[in-house]
Amino acid sequence: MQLLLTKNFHLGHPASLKEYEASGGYSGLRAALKMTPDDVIKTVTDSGLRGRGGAGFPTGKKWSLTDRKSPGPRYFLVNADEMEPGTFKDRFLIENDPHQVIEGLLISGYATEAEKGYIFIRYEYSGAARALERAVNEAKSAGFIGKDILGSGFSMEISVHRSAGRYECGEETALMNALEGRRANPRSKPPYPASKGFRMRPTTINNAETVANIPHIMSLGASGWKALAAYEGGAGTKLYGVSGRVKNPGLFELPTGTPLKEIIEIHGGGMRDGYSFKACLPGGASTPIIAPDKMDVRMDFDTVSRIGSRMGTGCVTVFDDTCCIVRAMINNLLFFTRESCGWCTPCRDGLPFVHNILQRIEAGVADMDELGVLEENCETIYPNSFCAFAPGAVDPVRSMLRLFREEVEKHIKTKRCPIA
Amino acid sequence: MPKLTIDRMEVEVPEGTNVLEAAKKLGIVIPHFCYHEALGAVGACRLCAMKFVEGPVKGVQVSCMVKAQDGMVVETADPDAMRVRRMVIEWLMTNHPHDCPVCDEGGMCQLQDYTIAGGHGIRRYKGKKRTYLSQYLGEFIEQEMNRCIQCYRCHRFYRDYAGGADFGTKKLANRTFFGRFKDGWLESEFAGNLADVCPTGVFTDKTYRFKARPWELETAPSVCPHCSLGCGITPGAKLRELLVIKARENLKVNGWFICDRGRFGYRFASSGNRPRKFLVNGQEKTRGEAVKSASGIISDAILKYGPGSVALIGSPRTSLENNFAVRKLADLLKTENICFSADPFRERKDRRAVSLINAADSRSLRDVEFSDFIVAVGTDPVNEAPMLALMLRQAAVKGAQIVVIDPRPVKLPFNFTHIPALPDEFAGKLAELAGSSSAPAPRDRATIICGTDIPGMDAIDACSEAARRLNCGLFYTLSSANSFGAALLASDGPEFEDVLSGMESGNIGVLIALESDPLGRYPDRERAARALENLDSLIVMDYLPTETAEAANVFFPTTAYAEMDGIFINNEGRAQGFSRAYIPGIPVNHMGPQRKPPELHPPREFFSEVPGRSFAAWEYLRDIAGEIGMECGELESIETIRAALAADDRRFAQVAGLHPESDGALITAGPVDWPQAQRQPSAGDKPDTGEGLLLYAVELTFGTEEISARSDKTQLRAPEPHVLINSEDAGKLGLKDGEPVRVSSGNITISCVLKTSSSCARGAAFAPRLKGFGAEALNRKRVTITGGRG
Amino acid sequence: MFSDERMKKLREYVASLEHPEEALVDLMHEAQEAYGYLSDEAAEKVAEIANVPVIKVDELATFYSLIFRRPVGRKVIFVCDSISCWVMGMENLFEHLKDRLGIDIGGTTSDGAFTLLPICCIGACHVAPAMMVGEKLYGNLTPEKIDEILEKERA
Ligand SMILES: Cc1cc2nc3c(=O)[nH]c(=O)nc-3n(C[C@H](O)[C@H](O)[C@H](O)COP(=O)(O)O)c2cc1C
Ligand code: SF4
Ligand code: FES
Repeated sequence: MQLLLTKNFHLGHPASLKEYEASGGYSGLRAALKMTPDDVIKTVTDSGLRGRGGAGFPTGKKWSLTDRKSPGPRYFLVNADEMEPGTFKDRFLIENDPHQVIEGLLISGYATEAEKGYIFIRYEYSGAARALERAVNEAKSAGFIGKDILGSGFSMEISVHRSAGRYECGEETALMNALEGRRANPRSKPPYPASKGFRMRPTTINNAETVANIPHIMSLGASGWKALAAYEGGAGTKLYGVSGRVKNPGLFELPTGTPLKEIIEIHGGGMRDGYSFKACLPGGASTPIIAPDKMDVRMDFDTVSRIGSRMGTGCVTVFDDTCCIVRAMINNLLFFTRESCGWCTPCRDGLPFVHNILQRIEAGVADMDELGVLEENCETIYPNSFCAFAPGAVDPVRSMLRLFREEVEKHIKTKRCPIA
Repeated sequence: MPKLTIDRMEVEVPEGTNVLEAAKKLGIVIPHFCYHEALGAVGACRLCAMKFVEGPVKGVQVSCMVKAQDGMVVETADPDAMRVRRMVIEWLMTNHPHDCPVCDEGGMCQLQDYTIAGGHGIRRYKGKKRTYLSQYLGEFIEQEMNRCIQCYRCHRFYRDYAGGADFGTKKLANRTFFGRFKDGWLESEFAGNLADVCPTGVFTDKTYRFKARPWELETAPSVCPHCSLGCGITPGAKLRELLVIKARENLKVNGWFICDRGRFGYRFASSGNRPRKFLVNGQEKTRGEAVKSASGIISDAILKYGPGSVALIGSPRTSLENNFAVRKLADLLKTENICFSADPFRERKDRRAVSLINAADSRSLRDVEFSDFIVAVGTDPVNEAPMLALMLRQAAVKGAQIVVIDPRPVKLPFNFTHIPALPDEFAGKLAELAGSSSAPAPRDRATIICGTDIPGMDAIDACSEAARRLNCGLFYTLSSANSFGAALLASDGPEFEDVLSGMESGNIGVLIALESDPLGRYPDRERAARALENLDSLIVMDYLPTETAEAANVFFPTTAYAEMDGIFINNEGRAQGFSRAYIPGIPVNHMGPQRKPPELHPPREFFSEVPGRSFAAWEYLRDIAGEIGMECGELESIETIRAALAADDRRFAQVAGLHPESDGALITAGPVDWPQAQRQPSAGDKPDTGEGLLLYAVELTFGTEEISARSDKTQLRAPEPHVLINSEDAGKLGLKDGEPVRVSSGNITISCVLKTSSSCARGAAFAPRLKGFGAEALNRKRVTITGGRG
Repeated sequence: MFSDERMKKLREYVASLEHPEEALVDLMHEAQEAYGYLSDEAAEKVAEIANVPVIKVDELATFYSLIFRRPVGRKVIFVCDSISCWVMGMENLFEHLKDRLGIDIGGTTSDGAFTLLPICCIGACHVAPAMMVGEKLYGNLTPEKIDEILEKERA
């Protein structure tokens, strides 16, 4: 298969501008600048690219919603906060090929007529942030960033913002607050970022991987890029990660829609010797569990949704048969209760309730009534929070109650963990 | 106007109304915490869930975040919605302490009410409760963070609504904390509202803490007496002790909030040194004896020297009814020596302002909020009329342009343009502004605000003239809660200066001062004292332990506003009624020698008179008139007084049926021609010319206002006596900020601390009218300031 | 804490911004680097540079996990406690670290060398269990490896 996103990963260091250009870098930008913004948006729409941040919103459609009529400034934000547990794709992408994200951002900015781009990156990714900053300077010197880029009349500045650690900063409107120097609570919608986002100006936001795909779409053309998918109707390549109890954890660029089984068993090297596959979170800590019976699911947004889960970030966390599923969920809820921004009640006070019941079940002190309370909590939290954080927190627990009910009940009935 | 159906009832609401409000309009009140009419909807608590059955939005939604739209069909009692509400309460209760028995909010706690309303009863959460360490926030507000349910109202009020900068939201998740950077007094002059906006007991009124349960309180709708704006309040008393003031919603005046002077200035009412006894020449007497004595004095004087030997002073801080009774008695006695203020210089300007206001120009406090261009002349809102600052902020937040022309370093919680001009430059600066290209085109959403303390007559006139010419609103702040009413009754009559001359010449031998304190309020204290000494008899009626009260031959203890029915007319001309909350008398709590529990116990029946019972001043005046043998049925009751007011004077036509909880009645006099109010500045209010800095005596939020200055808690926020001058002026004098100085003019010297500011006008000095400081005596005088202690 | 020269630079930087508040996170990082943690004094300094009330600094400082309002050791050990590291045995590592350092989570060693803190997934799941010592990432951890790392990092 042709590698696009990862083609410079073999270098073992952040590709320099020279190296990046040698591999065809910035030709996508040159191509785009010869087109009208509308045509760029149309190409991206035709390519079928869907957001890689987790929700899979069609990127071309998002861009077309950006308010380009009212006078600027407009902004384009790249979300490289990547704090979804189990996810490490944006780190790889930026640490190995920062220019790819910058080129993508420039084209995205051109298409949405933005005059300033920000790359919002978590503080822990210090290597990636430095690579980005270096790359921005290189690109600036080379005339890719700044005034009248490559004589096209298009101007754009780019800044790298290093955050200070909170998962909620990745939520797009919370990210805008964070960037403005406010607490990263999400905003209510409407107004939508497309018309009133960062600094209350029209703003478009995409995940780093989403943006990194753009130069390739420009170079290959919509249909050329789209055809790289593993199935008819899919689009392009995707970074899939595997971690957890497999032999060969890592990140792989594969055709979109590669089956989960193939990702785990072939690319991830299969389960560690002597252990069998019990379950996985297909795309981060907020995606519902997939059990062995659904392992051959194709990893694309629609197909995974159809079996009651979500593809999320495409970074799979694998559990084996020695893992207590209740304990896994306790760990997950520890993360979510700690990271909740504290704005709305279901998330702030509901998640600790869920966490507590899970702990009681695992400790063998809960009774069957509490299982009902757990379920009621999850079902009430899920649709009633302010933002998508809390649904993501309880969705895996809901899936556990569907798929592993027997194991959960066994904890209660035998008053101990059947696995440990 | 969208039309929607809620619980099978149709309702039509203005565009932009949320569904929670729409339901309220039908009388359906769904529990909610984070939503607040003034603070808006933010969708944080998720409690106000309703089921949207038909229309553009479907399913269970939080109703505060959904704007009413045509065709919506909403069920508030749908089981799915009810389940959400029950769970939200259950979540909030997972951490809430079960300390209701010792919580001051108990009984008026929204969490208590909504726990019942939400249907949550049995605790299912088995984990530990999260606990916090609370902060010390000063003596007004107590914090108990463990009770927090994170509705964010405190932050939204303090920071967003009031523009405070020393309070906020810290930490996150279920550790979210609301407080200051470090322990210490909340700085905002509106901090007390935290006690009202907090739906639970996190922020409570510290002055009221542990003193009563809300259902024990005797309350009544009332009007704040501490400045001329007339904000709505609800006083609460128990066992004859005034314990708490809460803001009362008044959408024409203060909206939902009040300032801390208004909230915590109440403690004069139950303070131990409040005069409670009828006294004749220092001897305690009964009410009847005092009446006999006073009437004897008056009839003797009239018999010997004629009616002109008796003078009466009403008061801008007492009710319209009391002042009317003063007027009535003067009429009955046939004396023309009657005035309504002991401070003629401020009264003169109050009267001038009142004479200029007419119904077309006059703007309410709420109108200020909706103005888009505001010029404030000679007023320092936070210090003179605090709630005006809060309304100005709302206007600023909505985008209004605000210009303040004032020599003081005016501080306001928003961005504005400050022109530090001296009072004699006000009219010129206003004319410049009105004539400049940046001035607003004539429009009715522009408002000119004018103070009446430091501006001269010319500025007061100029503001009215400009308002009329530009066709914009006019808003004067006056000196006291009923300055407007007193001015109407005074109309073109004499002023205290005239009475004073009568006393000095010996023509006046008897003075009846009703809630009026010439010794404390007349700027030249020596002169007032000499004149009072010249009297044969001084009859004083008051509820404050004033200097004049102490000098009285006959003294009658009167009622404070919360202890009587009455009317104040605010700065706008809005007559607002207030009702008696409790029967005045010595608080039960003060009665035992050691306040042991038995004395604290509420007496169930009174077998005798209420100890220390006092009455409204008009009752004494009526009795005195009766005793003298004069017919005065008009003073029979509050109703007869109001009827007489309405009948005597068409301006008061609306007061007869005034209901305390109504919007009040707008009364305007003007423009009228009161030659008396046109009187040219006399020596006392003409600024000195010559060398030295020109000193102005000024008001502060805390410590200068006559009534609240007798409240221990507000006094805690009164600054030390000081004089404030421009930093460069200080430099020229070789003086530094913070050093002790002597300020003198002629033979008057006061000692205090120097404060400097770079944003106040040069050539001027400002000294607060703190009690006992003596700044008033130097008002408008050229002063020399020298270093060193007095 | 900041040198005069640095102060001047930061002031100029803030002055060049249309929205000085947007610099708060950067300034807090700066102050923390200079001072080890964001003390009250440092928070006040940041507020002064950005010309905002200090409560705004505190609101952010206490929101973010990587701004410390209390003193920490010379190096902070961040142990990932998220799902992929958990499934690879993170809990044992924590026990081992607590044992070796003689401190609990959140504690600082008596020599002031290390503070032990949990951290959310650090995007090193492919080498789980993982931790960071300061900015340095360590993966595929075992108790033995941790002992080596501690020795090296302590030096
Ligand atoms: C709690 C929460 C955390 C999120 N964190 C991230 C993140 O770290 N990175 C990211 O790209 N998207 C994150 N998202 C999704 C973003 O809100 C947003 O949908 C995404 O950045 C859009 O980019 P895309 O259209 O390219 O996917 C998060 C969403 C939620 C609700
Ligand atoms: S669901 Fe609520 S508390 Fe949780 S992150 Fe979103 S807004 Fe904050
Ligand atoms: S779960 Fe630990 S690095 Fe991702």
